[in-house]
Amino acid sequence: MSPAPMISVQDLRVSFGTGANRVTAVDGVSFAVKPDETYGLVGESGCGKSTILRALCGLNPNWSGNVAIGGEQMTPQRTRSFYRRVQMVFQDPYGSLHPRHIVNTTLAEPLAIHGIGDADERIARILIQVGLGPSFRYRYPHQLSGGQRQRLAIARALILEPQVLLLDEPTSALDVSVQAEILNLLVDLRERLGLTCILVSHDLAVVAHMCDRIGVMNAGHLLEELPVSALENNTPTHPYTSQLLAASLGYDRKLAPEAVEDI
Amino acid sequence: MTPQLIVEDLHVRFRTPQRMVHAVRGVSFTVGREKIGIVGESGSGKSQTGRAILKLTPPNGIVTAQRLQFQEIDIAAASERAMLRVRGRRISMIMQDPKHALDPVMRVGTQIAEAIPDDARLSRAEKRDRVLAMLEAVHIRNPARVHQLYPHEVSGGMGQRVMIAMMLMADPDLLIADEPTSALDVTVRMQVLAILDDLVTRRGLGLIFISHDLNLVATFCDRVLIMYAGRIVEECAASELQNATHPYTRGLLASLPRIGSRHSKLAVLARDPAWLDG
Repeated sequence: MSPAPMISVQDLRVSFGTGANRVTAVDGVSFAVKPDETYGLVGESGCGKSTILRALCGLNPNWSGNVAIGGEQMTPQRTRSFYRRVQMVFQDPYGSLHPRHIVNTTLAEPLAIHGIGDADERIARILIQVGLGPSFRYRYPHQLSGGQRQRLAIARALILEPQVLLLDEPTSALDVSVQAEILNLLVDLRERLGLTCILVSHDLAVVAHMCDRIGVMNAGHLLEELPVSALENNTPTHPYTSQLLAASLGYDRKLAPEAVEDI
Repeated sequence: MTPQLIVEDLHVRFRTPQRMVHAVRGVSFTVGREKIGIVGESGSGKSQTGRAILKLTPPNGIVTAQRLQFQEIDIAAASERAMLRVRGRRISMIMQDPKHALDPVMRVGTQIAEAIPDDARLSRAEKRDRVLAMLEAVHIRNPARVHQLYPHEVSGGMGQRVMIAMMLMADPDLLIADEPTSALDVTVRMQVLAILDDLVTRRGLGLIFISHDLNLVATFCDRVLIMYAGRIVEECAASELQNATHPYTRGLLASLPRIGSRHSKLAVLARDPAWLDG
């Protein structure tokens, strides 16, 4: 028997606006993530993948459905202890860090909120874990490169020693060489700390590199779930997945359906 | 085939309060009627190279070049007045983000019509017909409806096609596209690329395609220039990019995650100071 899922989502619905302006961003999505697994969600912008993460981590209370994390049913209102177990890393390290807080302040804040002592030691330890080292402790975000900022954002998420890490396009704002460093760091940390992760990305190659199982989304629906080996063997079942897969390999004139007639 | 554009030893420097930033350091290349890709990471000078060709470098920038020749025009020596006859007419530029590049308070159709040269002396109705035809040419299904819309009412992919339509109104000989598809979703991206591709083959345009996406450039362009720290470190046929020899190019290619690379460590680029002069 397979172990109980760490994250279980059933019939999740999220909508914005009211009346005629009502938009259903996530429309009845169900999936489960096993402990220590990294589950990937892919799809185009606006398909609802980030909305799912925001509902899971409590940033958006307006959802319906059944969500359980670590066996515990979630309500829209989250407790403080929830945030010790579930943390998120955002897409844009230029926007997600307070520009006037030095690294030390950024990392001390979650510890203060949760009343955790020995902040000094923890900050020193986490900085080494994410590969920044003690010399970065008193710097401002503007003194850091994009990759260093994202390492700091990861450190901030991990300093509370969560079990679940939600990753919302963690490398899409970075150059490819820096992306490789951050992906390596995430692989390393999740093995060392035994993290359960959900990775959201529009880049099929990134998700295929990091995950064993992925969910493909379009227009608020989960079209299919498939093991990454199906991508590697080029045997996805849903035509939309095939389209994404073909597009991830680069340009091909044949993939653009209608031919352009005499311009 | 004689090249349309010849760039020799192009330098772009920026004066900042602290120091002089040398963004483009001696770049030389030619463009014929072909698709040329310029790839590099952020800060490698690829966008500034594209802007210098149109003399769109910001005011604190200093551009010098041995030679900057477009057909019969010596761009390096051209006055601002002469450049008005080049920009948008002979050389057009497609920007990265249609949300910022379109005028938010002007209808799409009116904006495109503005790009028609004055000396065409067309009536309002003729202009409208030209705009509608062009919108159709860039695959907009209902040109009459889109003609009336404001930029905030069109999607990203449609906005990008509107920009392409605008750039083509004056029938330019050279298109500079700066990350034209990075704001677009993969499926829309294919359509926009197909439009550019067909334009080059059918109208005989030259295209400078600036991008950070190695896979895309390798499959879309004919030739690729790889820039690092303001210099071209390597030039090769796009189909040969996988066999690139420069350690920087090789490092970039190796650092890309790919389907099938699971459970392996990605190669991390070790930057060699020698590349700065390479």
